[in-house]
Amino acid sequence: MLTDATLRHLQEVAELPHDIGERYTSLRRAGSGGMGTVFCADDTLLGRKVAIKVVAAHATAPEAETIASLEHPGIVPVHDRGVLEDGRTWYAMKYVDGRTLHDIRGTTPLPRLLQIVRQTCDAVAFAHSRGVVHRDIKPQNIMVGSFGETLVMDWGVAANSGDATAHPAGTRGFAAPEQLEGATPDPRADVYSLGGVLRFVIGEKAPRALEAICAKATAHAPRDRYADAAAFGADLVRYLDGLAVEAHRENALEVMQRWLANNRAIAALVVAYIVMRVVLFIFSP
Amino acid sequence: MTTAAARFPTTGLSLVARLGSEEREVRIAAFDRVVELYWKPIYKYLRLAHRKSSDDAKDLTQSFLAYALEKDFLAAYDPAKARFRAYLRMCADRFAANDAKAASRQKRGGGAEHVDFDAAENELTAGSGAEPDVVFEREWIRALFERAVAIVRERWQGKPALLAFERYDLGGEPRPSYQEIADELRVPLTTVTNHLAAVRRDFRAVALDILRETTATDDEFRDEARRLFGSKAV
Repeated sequence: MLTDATLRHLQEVAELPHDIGERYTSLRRAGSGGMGTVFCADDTLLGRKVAIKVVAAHATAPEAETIASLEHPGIVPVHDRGVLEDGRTWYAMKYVDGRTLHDIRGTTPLPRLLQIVRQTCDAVAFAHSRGVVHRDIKPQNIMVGSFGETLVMDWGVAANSGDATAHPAGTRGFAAPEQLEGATPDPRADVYSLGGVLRFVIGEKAPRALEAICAKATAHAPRDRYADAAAFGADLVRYLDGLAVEAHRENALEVMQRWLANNRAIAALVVAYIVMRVVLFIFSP
Repeated sequence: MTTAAARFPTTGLSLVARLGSEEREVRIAAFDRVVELYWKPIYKYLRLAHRKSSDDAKDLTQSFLAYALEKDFLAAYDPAKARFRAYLRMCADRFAANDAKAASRQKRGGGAEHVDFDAAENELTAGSGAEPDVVFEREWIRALFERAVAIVRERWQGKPALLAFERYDLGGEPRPSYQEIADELRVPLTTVTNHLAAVRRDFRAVALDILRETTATDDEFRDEARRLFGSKAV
């Protein structure tokens, strides 16, 4: 009889992408996500550690050139790729030593989390400018590295915008509704996912302007969302800079509140001046 | 053996389809396969979920399998409603519930005469006290892997690669190092790596083949493959 320990061992080793070639050794499983399984390995050619993602045989693989063209500090580069004998596709990516946004959310202050979302927008905006849609943006795919850098992981299911041959992809809960129904890749689907990430970060209740950004990004109809990650990121930056956001038309009271929040020192001086004048008025002979 | 076609043989009709065949011989052969893969999960599940004694669980498992063969109710399985595994467990649950109502039940025999209940009971005694559902799934994986291992042993019989597989992957803890196996087989270390890779690939393909045979739809197959290997396997 196979013992429980042997069963677990067989489950693990049977999944290893053994025919990946002699360049990558010491394969060990690091985790599995919605679209595949990630392994760590040693790249014997260049003497470095890499992450290898293996995706199911039926999943459509993006063009290697598409991924390779995304040279940006916030995008984890793909070094190598291939197809296993059983049809599964694999990618060798830079190994990132860090923690995911999903993992750090509970222990990181909101302003820092919002900065991470903004940096994520920068990376995705770069991809959009190259005509590439990520299609699986979620907190588990946003990594904060050991130097504090934000990296968008897992471009294994990315596709060219408008590519009608792209296989449906995405993770329920973060993927746009039309994406799950098989619509052609569109940057606005990534905007929806970024909105989901923002919602994950801010929780149930947030300032009205932030809620409005989130609502606009996750609008059901793509035409009601930001056009791309750059537009979404720009509105988030406006919020972080204390400016009016595109997603929300402020009333006079909100304008005043925002001005006060941005100019506390001046407001304090004005209040102090008014109090002083009132005191002098009352007690003057 | 090394060609893709050899590693991924076409299985023809699935087990589920064969259970509904109009030819009795085909149905019985398919039923034998069900018994082979599922008698132990069913026995252990009934033992735990319905709090049966060892003897009662043996009787109940035998009666259930005999009844399933006699009434052909596995042929009524509808893939659109549930996974085959879940359907089988639900049938066993219902059978056990009806059994509890019957004060005296005639022992039927047949269906599972060739299975080793004592061994299953010993395994259960040594188990971790997990939930019945978990035990059912684990025993299903065990039965499937044991069959896959048997096929792999037959295919690789007499080859050094099988020895490496037996020593490292089936030998349990503590595992020998690759170097120790290489010394034992008097081959370079890289050969051990290649041997293990080749047999593991074959094992995976065989296990997925068995799984494909016992599932009715592509979605069920992929879902069960994820349970089998804990990831997006196919």
